[in-house]
Amino acid sequence: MHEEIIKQLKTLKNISPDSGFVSHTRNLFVPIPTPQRVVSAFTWQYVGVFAVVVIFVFSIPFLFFVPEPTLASLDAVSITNEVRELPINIQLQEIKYSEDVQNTITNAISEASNTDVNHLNYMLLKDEEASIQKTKEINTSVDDLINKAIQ
Amino acid sequence: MKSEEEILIKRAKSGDHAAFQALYDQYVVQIYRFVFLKVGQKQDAEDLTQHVFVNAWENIPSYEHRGFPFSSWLYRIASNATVDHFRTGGRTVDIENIPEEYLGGDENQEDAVDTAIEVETIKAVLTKLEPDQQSVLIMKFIEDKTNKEIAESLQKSEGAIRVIQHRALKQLKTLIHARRNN
Repeated sequence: MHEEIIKQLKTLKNISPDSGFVSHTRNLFVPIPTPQRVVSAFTWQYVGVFAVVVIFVFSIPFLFFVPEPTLASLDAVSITNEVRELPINIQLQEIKYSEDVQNTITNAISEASNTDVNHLNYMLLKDEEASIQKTKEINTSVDDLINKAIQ
Repeated sequence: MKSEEEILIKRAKSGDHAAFQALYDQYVVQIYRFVFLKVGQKQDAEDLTQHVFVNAWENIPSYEHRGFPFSSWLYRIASNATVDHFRTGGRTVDIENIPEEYLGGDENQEDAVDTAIEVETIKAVLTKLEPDQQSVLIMKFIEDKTNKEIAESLQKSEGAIRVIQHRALKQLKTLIHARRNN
């Protein structure tokens, strides 16, 4: 009996789809041609030319600008020479000045903090006065030179 | 050396429309037949067949050839599509009027009528079977596929296919007897 059923099943091989359906579905897998975009091609050409012109115009200042001062200041040889010519004495003078100031301040502080009455001693005051007078001495040679220059 | 089908598959995987069309031409009839015998309606069968091939085209880049015919993969897609069809409200149709346009045109009128009756009977009872039983009988006896190919298509073992085939034939026999007695 199975053979009979199998024979009947094989009759179903005659089933087939409509040719219209087959071709219609087949067309679903046809590549869709991309439309020719002539106008767009021309447009892109114009855009390209315009971009080149714009880039050229904006690059003109950079092409003709020569920053000489900047380049000179960046010259390594001139910078080295400039550094060498710097008066190193300035630093030494500053150091000496700082030492003097520091000594003066130290003396002033020690005197102010001294509770002894030594500073009221007449002899000491005389010595200090003498030293002050000594520093007040005027170098007349300088004055003479100035006067000569004025005349 | 690769077979012609393997070359077509490789080209289709890389987006070659013509190669996929060649595969379509090769398998559209049997896939349509498989779907039609399951759903029983021409319009549904056409819609589902189209769905199968569109799905195949979209997913062919991920297809891996494992030595089975390309049709095994298409049958798997078709089987899933019919399951989804019934899940979403589709129904089988007990064909009472034989769709002559589906029958071969070479037979004479008398033979055509006999064939039509046989087709009506077998088609009607076929739709009463379980989906896996339908698939196995269609692929085995209508499309002449091997058990190995059927197993690959339905993602089952060959032993399971033999069991399903045996039960399907037994069930079909019972249904045909019942129909003739009515």
